[in-house]
Amino acid sequence: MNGTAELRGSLQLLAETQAVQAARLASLELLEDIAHWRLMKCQRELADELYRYRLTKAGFNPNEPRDGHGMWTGGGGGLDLPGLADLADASDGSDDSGDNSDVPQLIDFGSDSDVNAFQNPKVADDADSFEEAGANNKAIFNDALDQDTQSTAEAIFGETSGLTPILKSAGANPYNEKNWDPDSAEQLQMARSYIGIVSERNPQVHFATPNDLTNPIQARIWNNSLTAAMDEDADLDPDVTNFFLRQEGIGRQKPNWPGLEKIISLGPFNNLAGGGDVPKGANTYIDFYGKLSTLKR
Amino acid sequence: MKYIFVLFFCFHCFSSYADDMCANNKHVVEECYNVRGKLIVHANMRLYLHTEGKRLLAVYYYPDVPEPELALPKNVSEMLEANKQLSGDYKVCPFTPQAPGKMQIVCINSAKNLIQSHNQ
Repeated sequence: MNGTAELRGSLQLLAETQAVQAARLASLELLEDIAHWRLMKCQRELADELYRYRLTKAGFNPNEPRDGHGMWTGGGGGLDLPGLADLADASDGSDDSGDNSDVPQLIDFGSDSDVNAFQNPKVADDADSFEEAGANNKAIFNDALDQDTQSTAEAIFGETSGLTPILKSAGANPYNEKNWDPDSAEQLQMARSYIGIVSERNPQVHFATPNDLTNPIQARIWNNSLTAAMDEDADLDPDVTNFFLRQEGIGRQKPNWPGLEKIISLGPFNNLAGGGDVPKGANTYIDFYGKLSTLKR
Repeated sequence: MKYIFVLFFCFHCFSSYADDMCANNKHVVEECYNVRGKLIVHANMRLYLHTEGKRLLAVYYYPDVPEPELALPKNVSEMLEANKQLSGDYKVCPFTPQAPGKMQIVCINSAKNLIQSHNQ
C-alpha cells in the first residue's frame, strides 16, 4: 500500500513539476517575444532617427509634409543659408503684393501663400460666428474616412483653400459666412466638388491638409473640402481633365497648352491670398478644361 | 578676316543665347544649377519640375511677357503638352530662394536628354 501511495505521490509530483516547467517555458517564450518586439521597436526608432538625421544634415526639414506622391509640399526644408529669410521676404511677390512692381507677376503655384491667409487677424473677430458651424464640422471630423475620400479632400484643400465666396457688401469680413454672396458660395462648393472629380481623373494636383484644425477658418475650409469630396451628386462633363484659375481681366486669361478647350467656368470668387498671374481680387474664376478631340459639341 | 570675325561673333551670340535662356535674367536670385527630373503640366495647367530628389519646383513660364528669355527652351516647348511629362536633365535658375515651407520658383535655362511620356 505504502509503495502504491509513494508511486502516486511521485507521479503527482512529476506532473506538477512538468506543469511548472511548461508554465516557466511559456513565460520564457513570452519574455523572449517581448524582448524581440522591443528590439524591433528600437531598431525602427533608430532607423527613423537615422533617416531624419540624414535629411536634416542634407538641409531638409524632415517634418515638412509631403504630398500623396511623397514629394515635398514646399522646398523640402531648403538650405538654411544666412540671409535667406531676408531674400525670401524681398522676392516673394506672391505674398507681398505691395512690392511687386519690379518682379514679373509670378504664377500661382499652389497654396504656399494661402496658409498665410489664415493668419489674418480678422479671423479672430469672427471666430464666434463660426462656432455655429462647429457641430457640423465635428460630425464630419469624427467620421472614419476611406483613403480615397481623404486623398480627394486633400487635393480640394490644396487647390482651393485660398478662395472664399465674394461678399455681399465690399469691405465686410471675408471670413464670416454671413457676409458671403450665396450664389458665389454655392459656385465655390460646386468648384470644390469638380476639382475633386478632376483630381481623380488627373492626379497631378497639390495635396495639402490644414496644419491647425483648431483654427476655425482652416477647419471650415477642410470641412467644405471633405463635404465636396463626398459629394456623390456632382456631375462633371466626363471630358474635363484640367482646371485653370484666373482673375478676370488681369494676367493670363487662358492656359497656354493646345488641345484643351474650356467647358465650364465657375465664379466669381474672392482670391484673398493672391499670387502670380492670379492676383488678389474678387473676380477670380475657375475654368474647367477638357480634351478638344473628344468634346461632344 | 573681318568677315570671319563677324561670323564667329554672331555664332557665339547665338550659341550663348540658346544655352542661357534665363540665366542672365534680373529676377534670378541664386546660381543656376543642374537637376534631373520630370517636367509636368499639372491638372491646374501650371508647369512643375519634379526632381529626382523628391522636390517640387514651380516653373516660371510666361511666354507673353516682353522678355523672350523667360520662354521655355525650344526643345522643351516643342515636346511639352498638357497631361504629358518630359523626363530629362535640366538647368534651372531660381527666381526665389530655397526657404522652408515655400515652393521655389525657377526658370528652365536649358534641357537635354528629353523623353516624353504620359502622366502617371
